[in-house]
Amino acid sequence: MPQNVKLTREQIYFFTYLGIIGNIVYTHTWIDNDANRSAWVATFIGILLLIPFVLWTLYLGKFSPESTIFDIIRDSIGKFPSCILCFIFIAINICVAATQLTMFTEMLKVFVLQNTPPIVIIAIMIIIAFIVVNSDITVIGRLVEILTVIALLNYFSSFAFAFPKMINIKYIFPIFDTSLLGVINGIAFTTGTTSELLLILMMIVCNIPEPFKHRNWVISGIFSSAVVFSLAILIIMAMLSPELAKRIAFGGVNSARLITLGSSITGLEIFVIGTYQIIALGKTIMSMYCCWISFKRIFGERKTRLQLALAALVLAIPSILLKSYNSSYFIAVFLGRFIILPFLISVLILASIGIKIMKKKKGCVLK
Amino acid sequence: MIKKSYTKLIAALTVCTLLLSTLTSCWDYIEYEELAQIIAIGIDYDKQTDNIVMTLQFIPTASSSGNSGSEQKSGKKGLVHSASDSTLYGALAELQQIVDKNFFYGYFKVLVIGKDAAQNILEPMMDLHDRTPAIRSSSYIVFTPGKAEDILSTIDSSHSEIAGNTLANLLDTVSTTGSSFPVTMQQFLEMLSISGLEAVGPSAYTNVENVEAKGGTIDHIRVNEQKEGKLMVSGLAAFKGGRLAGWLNDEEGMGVGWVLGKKIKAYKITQPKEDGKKEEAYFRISSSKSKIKIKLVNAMPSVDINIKISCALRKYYTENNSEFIDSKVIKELEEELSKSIKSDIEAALKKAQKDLQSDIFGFGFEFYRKYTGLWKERFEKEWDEIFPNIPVNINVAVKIPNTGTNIRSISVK
Repeated sequence: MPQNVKLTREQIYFFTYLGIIGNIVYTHTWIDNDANRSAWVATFIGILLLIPFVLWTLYLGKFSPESTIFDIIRDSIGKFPSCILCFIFIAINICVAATQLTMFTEMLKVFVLQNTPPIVIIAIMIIIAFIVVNSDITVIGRLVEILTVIALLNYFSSFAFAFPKMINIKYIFPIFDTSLLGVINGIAFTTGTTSELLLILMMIVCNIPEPFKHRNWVISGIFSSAVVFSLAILIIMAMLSPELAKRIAFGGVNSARLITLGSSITGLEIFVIGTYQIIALGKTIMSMYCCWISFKRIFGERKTRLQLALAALVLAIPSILLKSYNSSYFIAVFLGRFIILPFLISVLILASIGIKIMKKKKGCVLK
Repeated sequence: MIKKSYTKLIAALTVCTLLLSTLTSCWDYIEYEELAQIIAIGIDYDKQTDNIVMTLQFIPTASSSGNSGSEQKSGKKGLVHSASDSTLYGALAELQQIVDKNFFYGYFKVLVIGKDAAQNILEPMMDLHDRTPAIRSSSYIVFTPGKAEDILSTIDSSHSEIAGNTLANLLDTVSTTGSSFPVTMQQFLEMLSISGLEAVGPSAYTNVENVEAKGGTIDHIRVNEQKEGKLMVSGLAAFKGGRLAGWLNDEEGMGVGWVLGKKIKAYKITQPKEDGKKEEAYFRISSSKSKIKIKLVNAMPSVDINIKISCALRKYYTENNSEFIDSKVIKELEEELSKSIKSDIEAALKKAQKDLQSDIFGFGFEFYRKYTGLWKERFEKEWDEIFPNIPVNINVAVKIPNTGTNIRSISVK
């Protein structure tokens, strides 16, 4: 088996960031609705709850270091179940990318490019993603590294100007003003939505050198993104009030629109929109990469460029056809609540069974 | 080898062509002169016809090309048009029919709402504005006991400034005296949404009435209505739920400002003292802090308002015999100031609790923050009955560490 290219510690760290922060930038209103003032706590805990699943994935990677999770299932359980899972995996990735692209495009249309056809914005994103995915995984890693740093700087440099004038501490306390059930719902939803991380991790686990040994690379990424994202929600709530924050899907943009610097600069939303663009691009790249690798597992290593073009096409078509922000929002909520994590857990269970079978087989051979 | 490099070149060219064909700026490109820049919107409601009157004020646009557009003709004064329709967007659409440029809200500063609109259509109106992303929520909101149309038609007689700009400037300056304070649309929406807190907003007045439409009338649209006059921002409009409850005068407005911790910069005492002697003092407030403490006494809420003020004496005149501004005089002034501020707060409390029965101080919100469970179980539902009878204890602690350079009164020979 050929050796896979290995990613660096920093690349894995930033992959984790971008893996977690996806559709949740729009659907966090759902957490606000469930958990009220404790939404940021629910977000923090919800993201941290990904750690067991991540450890599980990395642990499986330990037994077959050069394989993706689907390769383990193919090699142990068989090609047919692996292909079925790959098809579902591709479908989920398409949905994640399509909802992300549609929501981002609609946001751009609302605030900046009112007259630009959405197809143009989506096409640009898909073309850029195609060019990036067409290169090596390390190039993707480097790009993700740079983009994530820019995105974080963009986001927090704009909100730095909100302190202290626009932050109302009264909107934060009391932190726990809702029922325990509400907080649990918020946590469950966060874990479900941010499990988008596992989609990419299942593919790049073969590019992590000694995955289980280097589990801290991913865990530190999860912890940092939990801090960053819950802090972002906290700032939005403190600026808008929880009552208004729960009804605005572009909370970050709306908060940044309120920031004024003297009488000449009104609104710093362009920085936040820039961050959202980076997230949308990063997510599209990751989803395209996942689709492409899955296609390769189904159709083999023949005409791989054509397979990549196919992956780009299957991402582009639903993204263009979806058109509606509202539909995208509810599809993203549905995916986060009921689809992504349960599917990924089933894949992990099957892969674990596969590892058992492989071990048994090896044992038989030894006998 | 050559074939491979050709393939790469073709692929690169295809990608470049695709990217070039999708350059986005073309669709949204527009020249500055092609925009009708709205600086203020006024909304009135006619109860008899059940119609909404929308008034738009445009910024005068300088045209470099020399085209004789309608905005250019208006010189420095901008334009004010109004239209009436049964819906807000109907009125807006009518106004677009007479303006040959696209409406642009990038420089929007003030939303003015007339009394009848504030009483009858506030909720749907705010919801509509909130859902209009073109309008920034950081813009100011102002209420008027008269008509918003009259407010926007007023051109400041002293320097020919349009009402939108004058109002925005007045809101910034009037807050220093405390009789009113600016409220953004975002802050107003927050006050409308938060349980246990009622909304307040600044009120504006004009001496202009029944303005003639210089450009005539087409259908329901009045064209170019402006008249020289004076605008004033003073006091507050108070709300209960989604309806206007009443108006607060300067003193009451100041009382609300002190309780809500607004940054009041200047304050004066002009009342005659108890002994009948005249005293005038003007203070520059260097810091003020307000704290609302809520507690349960016999299972009923009770409020302590603690205000700490530090200020400098800037102007002072007294008919007292005191020659120097010594510690005794300062002590007396501190007491006078404390008493005066307390009386402002008492006036505001009386108005809010007894007349308007509207919790504009946010006592309910403070109660919710301290006794969250109790609020949800019982008090939230009963707050309207409880609020007018809440005992309020006011403590105002004033310090005057500085008195300026003249420590001795003028001696007339």
